[in-house]
Amino acid sequence: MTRRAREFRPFAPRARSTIIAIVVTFALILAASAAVSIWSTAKSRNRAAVVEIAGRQRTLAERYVTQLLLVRGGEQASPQRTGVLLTQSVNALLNGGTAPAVEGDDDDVMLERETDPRIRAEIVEQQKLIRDLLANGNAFLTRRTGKLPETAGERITTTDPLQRLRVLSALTSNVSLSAAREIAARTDRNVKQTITLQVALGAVGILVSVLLAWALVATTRRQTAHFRSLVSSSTDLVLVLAGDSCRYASTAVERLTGQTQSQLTGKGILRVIHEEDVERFQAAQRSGDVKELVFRMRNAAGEWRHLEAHLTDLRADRHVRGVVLNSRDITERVRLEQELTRQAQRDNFGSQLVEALEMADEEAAAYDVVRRAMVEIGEHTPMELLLSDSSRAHLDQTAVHPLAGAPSCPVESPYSCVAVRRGHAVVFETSEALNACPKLRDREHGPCSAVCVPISFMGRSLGVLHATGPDGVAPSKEQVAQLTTLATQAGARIGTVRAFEKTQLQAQTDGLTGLINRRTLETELRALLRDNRPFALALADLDHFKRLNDTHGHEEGDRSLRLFSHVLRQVLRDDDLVARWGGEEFLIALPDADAQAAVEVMDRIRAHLARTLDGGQVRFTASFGVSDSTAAASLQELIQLADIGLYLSKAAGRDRTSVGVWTDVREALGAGNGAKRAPAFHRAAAEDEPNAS
Amino acid sequence: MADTWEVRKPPLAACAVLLGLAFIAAALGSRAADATPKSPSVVRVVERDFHISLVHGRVTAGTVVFRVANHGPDEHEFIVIHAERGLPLRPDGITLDEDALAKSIAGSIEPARAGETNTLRLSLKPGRYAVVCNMFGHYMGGMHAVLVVQ
Repeated sequence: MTRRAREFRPFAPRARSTIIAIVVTFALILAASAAVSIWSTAKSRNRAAVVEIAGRQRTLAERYVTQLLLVRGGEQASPQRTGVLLTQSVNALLNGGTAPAVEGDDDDVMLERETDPRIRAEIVEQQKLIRDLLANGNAFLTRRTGKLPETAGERITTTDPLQRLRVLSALTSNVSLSAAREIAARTDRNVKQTITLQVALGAVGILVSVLLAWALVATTRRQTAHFRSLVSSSTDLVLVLAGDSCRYASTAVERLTGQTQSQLTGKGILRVIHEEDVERFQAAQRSGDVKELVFRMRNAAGEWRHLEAHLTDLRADRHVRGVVLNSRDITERVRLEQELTRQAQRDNFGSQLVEALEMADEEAAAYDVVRRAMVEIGEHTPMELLLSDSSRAHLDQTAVHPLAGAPSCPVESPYSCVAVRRGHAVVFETSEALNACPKLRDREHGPCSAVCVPISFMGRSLGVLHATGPDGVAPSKEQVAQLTTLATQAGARIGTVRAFEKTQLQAQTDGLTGLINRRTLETELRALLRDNRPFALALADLDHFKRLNDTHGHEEGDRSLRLFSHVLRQVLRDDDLVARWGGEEFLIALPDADAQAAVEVMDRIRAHLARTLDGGQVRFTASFGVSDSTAAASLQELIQLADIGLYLSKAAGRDRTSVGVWTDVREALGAGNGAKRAPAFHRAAAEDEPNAS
Repeated sequence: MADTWEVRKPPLAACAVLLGLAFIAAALGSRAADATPKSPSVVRVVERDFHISLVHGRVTAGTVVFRVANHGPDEHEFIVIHAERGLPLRPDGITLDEDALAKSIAGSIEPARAGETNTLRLSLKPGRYAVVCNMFGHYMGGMHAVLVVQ
């Protein structure tokens, strides 16, 4: 048989209905008791008078016989009056009415009709006996003889009138006594019945009340249990505080703190509250105005949990007399909020960093951004940026924290750095740990904590970002994250700048000699022309370069070209421009110079070349053709004139300098040929070019 | 009065217990019951105001059981008197002199209310007996009868 599940109704008004039921029961029982008393009293009313009248009959019957005898003896008496009294009294007893007074004894008494059948039967018997007694009495007085009535069942054997009177008197007396006794006994029974009824009513009342009280207790207990289960199974942490101490701590608080109710109540609660929050906690419950409070509570594992409490001031409520704190654990929410804040800060830092680095168009500017970012990350944290040079073999200190200085890591090459090798940030809580980087030991400022974040670009290691802090205090996740951001963004930017600079250099210079290339020089020359700045041009060509290449190999040819370019740079001014024009041809521009000056300079070059080659290298010479900006309007024509000069030098036997003029061309090509530059014109020079080029 | 047995209404529980015991006794001693020589004589008596009626005026000697019903309306007593001669009265001339008759009284039932029936078990020798009610005036009023025990 399954037990019927009770409804869970903590707020059910069942207790009230039970109390009402108890009160109603008591009222009903009191009313019933009063009704019984009234009924019983009403029944017993006049009983004393009835008993007295019934008893009086006995005396009257005897008095009647006595008075008869007195009258027969000639004395004064009134048996008739006594007979009337007897008759009226018995009638009153039977049917109600006035029982007449016996003169000198009592007063008239009003009687009610007798209802009890047994007593009525006795009174009827008495009535008959009185009738017989009075009939016999009359016969006795009149001395009449004959058959006398015997209506009451008596069979008097004697015929002596006096004896008959005495027997009838005795019977009347006895029956009257019996009736009086019966009436009195019935009154007693009534009283007894009333008492019994009252006792029974009282017992029933007590029983019902006990049952109802038991139901009330059970209901109250059940409601209490419902509330207890609500409070104890709730995850809400409930505290009741009064007068700086805790009066109640719910089961949830016990579970959280791992402490018992008795440990938490009183001042014990303060032991599990964060010392920074104790004052606010106490102030909040003292004022009662504070509605919400966030504080920290230590859990069983010793961690601080953030609790958000709603305060209800129930100090005026006599059932509570305290401030009730309903608290929830919001640690996870606080953690998330902090994480979001950090994330926002990091994002902000990251976006600012990206913008700053975008504006840095060369490495130096990027390093400056890195230095400023270092201050943002940690004002007092020594940091340095170590980057590899073009050879990628050495690490150089390229940026240092402007305020805190450099931690000065002794690492020399990228692959000596553990962070670079691992490819991700490495954090050391202390330099003294067994697994700490050996390069952290024996630092100038003693033991330290450190972070090393590798820097790479397009998968190639550029270097490492290194920061140190106090020994034993690991840098915050926040700082590590910021350093990682800095390393990533700085690496990307520096890599990009380096690649750009390299590309630009490659586009502007000749790879072999390091001189600017033809296009760059043309740009520069156009700028001079545009500025109307006078300049001289010289076209140089190594003599018999093809033969040199063929004889000594291309390496020797390349070396000769590099040596020649070196000589050019040595002799020429800084302002002068020199470019490899193609093959073994070089074009030289001398700003603010004319052709004559240029010839002198070229001659100096030839002389310096000759001197340089005295060291035992493969010897070679160069021929030069010169023009200046006064000889032609366009760049193309100027170059053609220099080319003509070169041709003249080649034609005249090489290792010399000639100024190109238009007449020379005509001479060389023959009159009538209007073409300013013909393929044959360059043939002599072409003969000097190496086959391979 | 060693051989009188006044019978009152026994309580119900006691009745049940007695009934049970009687049942067990009957079951156990049915042979003994068979051995009883003969059943006692039963005399039914009716009392009224104011005479006594006997259903049987003659009984055999030995145990005689009187079942006395008072039909009232008044209270009556029941006295059995071994009366070979006349019965003496008290000086009042109304009631029998019970003191004088003490040796002759075989047994009695105290005054009973109307409606009651009582039983009196007596061991009577042969002879002439008077059954009377000796309440004040009742004897003289007619409440007497004769029982002959043979």
